[in-house]
Amino acid sequence: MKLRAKILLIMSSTTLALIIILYGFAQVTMLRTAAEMEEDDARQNVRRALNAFSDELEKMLSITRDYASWDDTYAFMINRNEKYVETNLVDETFLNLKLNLMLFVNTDGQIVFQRGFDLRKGCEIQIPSGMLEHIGPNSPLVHHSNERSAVAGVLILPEGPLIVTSAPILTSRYTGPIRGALIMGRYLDSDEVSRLSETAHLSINIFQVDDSKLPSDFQTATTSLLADRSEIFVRPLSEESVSGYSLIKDIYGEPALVLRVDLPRNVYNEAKRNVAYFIYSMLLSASAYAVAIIILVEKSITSRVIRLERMVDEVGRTGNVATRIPVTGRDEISSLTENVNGMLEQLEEHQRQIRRHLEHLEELVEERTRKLLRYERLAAIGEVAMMVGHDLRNPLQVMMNIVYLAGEHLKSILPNVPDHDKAEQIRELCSSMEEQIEYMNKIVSDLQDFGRPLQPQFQPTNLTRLIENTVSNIKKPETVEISLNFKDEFPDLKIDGAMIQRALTNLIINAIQAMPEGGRITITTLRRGAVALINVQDTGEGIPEENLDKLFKPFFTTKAKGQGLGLPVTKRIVEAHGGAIKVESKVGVGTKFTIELPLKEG
Amino acid sequence: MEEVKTILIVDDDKAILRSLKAILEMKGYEVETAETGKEAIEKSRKKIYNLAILDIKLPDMEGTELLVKMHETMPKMMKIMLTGYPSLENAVKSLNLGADAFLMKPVNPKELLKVVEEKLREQTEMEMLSEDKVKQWMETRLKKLKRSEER
Repeated sequence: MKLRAKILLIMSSTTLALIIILYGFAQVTMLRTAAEMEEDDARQNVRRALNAFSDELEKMLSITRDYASWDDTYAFMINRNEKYVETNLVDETFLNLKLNLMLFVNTDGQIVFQRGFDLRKGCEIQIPSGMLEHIGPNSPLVHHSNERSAVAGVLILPEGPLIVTSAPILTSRYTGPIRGALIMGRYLDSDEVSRLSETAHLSINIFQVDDSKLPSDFQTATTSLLADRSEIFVRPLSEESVSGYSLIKDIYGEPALVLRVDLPRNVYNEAKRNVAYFIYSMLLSASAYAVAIIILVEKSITSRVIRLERMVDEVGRTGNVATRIPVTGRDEISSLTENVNGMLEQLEEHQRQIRRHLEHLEELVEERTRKLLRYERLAAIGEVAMMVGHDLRNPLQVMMNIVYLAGEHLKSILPNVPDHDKAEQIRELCSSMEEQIEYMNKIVSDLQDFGRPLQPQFQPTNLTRLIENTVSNIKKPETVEISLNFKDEFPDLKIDGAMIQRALTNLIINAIQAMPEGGRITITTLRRGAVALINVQDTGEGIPEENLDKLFKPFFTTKAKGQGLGLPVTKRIVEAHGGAIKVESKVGVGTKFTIELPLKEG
Repeated sequence: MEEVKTILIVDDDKAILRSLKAILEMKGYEVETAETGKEAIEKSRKKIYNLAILDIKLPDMEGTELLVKMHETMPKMMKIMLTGYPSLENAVKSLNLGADAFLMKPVNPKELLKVVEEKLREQTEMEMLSEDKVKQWMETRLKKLKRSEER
């Protein structure tokens, strides 16, 4: 998966997960709290409704008390005078006090006075018959055990629920003996319930527990309240309203009525709205956050990484290591880019090195090839030289023999020759012929020496004696002086004496030839560590610098007569001994050859 | 009166044979020549030579082979190897096989004559030595005989 897609996926999935978790959390905490608050609120309001109801009862009871603890009423219970009735128990009294009935009952349970009233019609009616069933000497409504006793409560009559109060009939000074009880009643009808609702500022409904038309929610609440013996039951009826229920008992302590208070679900709905707002704003801000993060990551990481990847890929594809990736900012990607650049630089340097090595190798191969070709040529020349040399030896031998014979014949006839000078001239011709043959012989020998592998026979040899011997064997012109200078004592060297002699002879002859006007040759031996040095120094014309390195190459010569084999042969001989030969020269001053031989003591 | 020394020259080059023969005859030697190894062997059977000059390379055999054969037939004959192939192995091999000298072509005739004279003198000395010994032995025997006669 691509980096960009991965980041997008991770960001969107985490944002989504976050929102889901927050939603769940909000749902659980906020809505539950709201529901709890709503229930508390409902309970409180149910209590308020109950309080309003009991206030109403209290109000009615205090009226009842006022009438019951009055000397006129006290007296009326005995004298039953009409005047009391006409003055106090008129229609206005019922209307003002909103009473549906009044009963004056003596302690024996006999009704002294009774009157019913229809508040809507404003006329007197019969006391409901069901009411009379509750009147007796032992009825709680009638029997008051002391002066402070009082009853206020509900009675269920066939005509409907009734609020009823009862107080003992006393003197105005609340003294007895008790002459009976004053009972007042008011139907708990729709008017009364709506008045209650107004007073409490609540929507209140009241039903009889045993009502056959009891709505289902009331039934559920009643069942629950009866089962739990709890005071209040709360249940939301819909999304818009919640209801609180409570039971009201009758004067006998039996559940008689069920009260319902309806409340709008303000808190809950507000909480729901809040949760929704919260989630919407979360969704919005999280999305914005995710987008911002994605843009930031894209700008500061993804796009740069992708660009880096593309450029590295391109370098890999094209092999152009001279590429440098532009570095932006100062962070890990920048340093990564710098590292990549550093690696590219190293790669470039390595490529350069490899190219240099290659060029060097090519040069080396070329040089070696040139050398090889030269060696091949030399080897071919060597072979030819060997062949030619051998083939020349017989004719040379013959020529030598003939010249010798000619000379001898001449000698034998010399005394008898009249032209002595002529004969002498011929003799000189013979001897110069002999010299030329010797010289030819030398050329052939040198050629053959050069063409043949050297196999020195090492013998313990005294170097001083060898040099002295060599010098004495060389014919030198009068003008050249040779001086020997043996500086150090040497043990006998393990060398091939004949070969070293030839090498030295070559050097000395070269020196002589370098001094046509005469001069001095100095041969010096000295010891340096494990090396014996033999210097052959002349005071000749010197060698131009450009010729110095060609000096030891075969067939290089500046002489009219010479094959250019002397120094190469010398070099070969010295090298066959594990030594080296060096040359120093200054034009007009002279040349110094140095032979270095390892001291292998014999 | 000194006896005339005889020399056999073996070489496949006629010019060399001719010129060398002339030089050696001029110096008073009796010289015969052979161009092949076979011819040389035949000649050496017919006649005794004091000295042989052998080329190391012959058309029918190697000079060293000839050297061995002649050493068998005539051990007292002086043998000088003369060769155009300068190599140490050849020289050592030749000397081991009974050659008395080893010279390289082209050799200065003076040098060659010197070696020839030297080798012939050596030969004579050795002969004299053996003659002396025989003489001594015989003298001793004679003295012994005389002494026994005196008794």
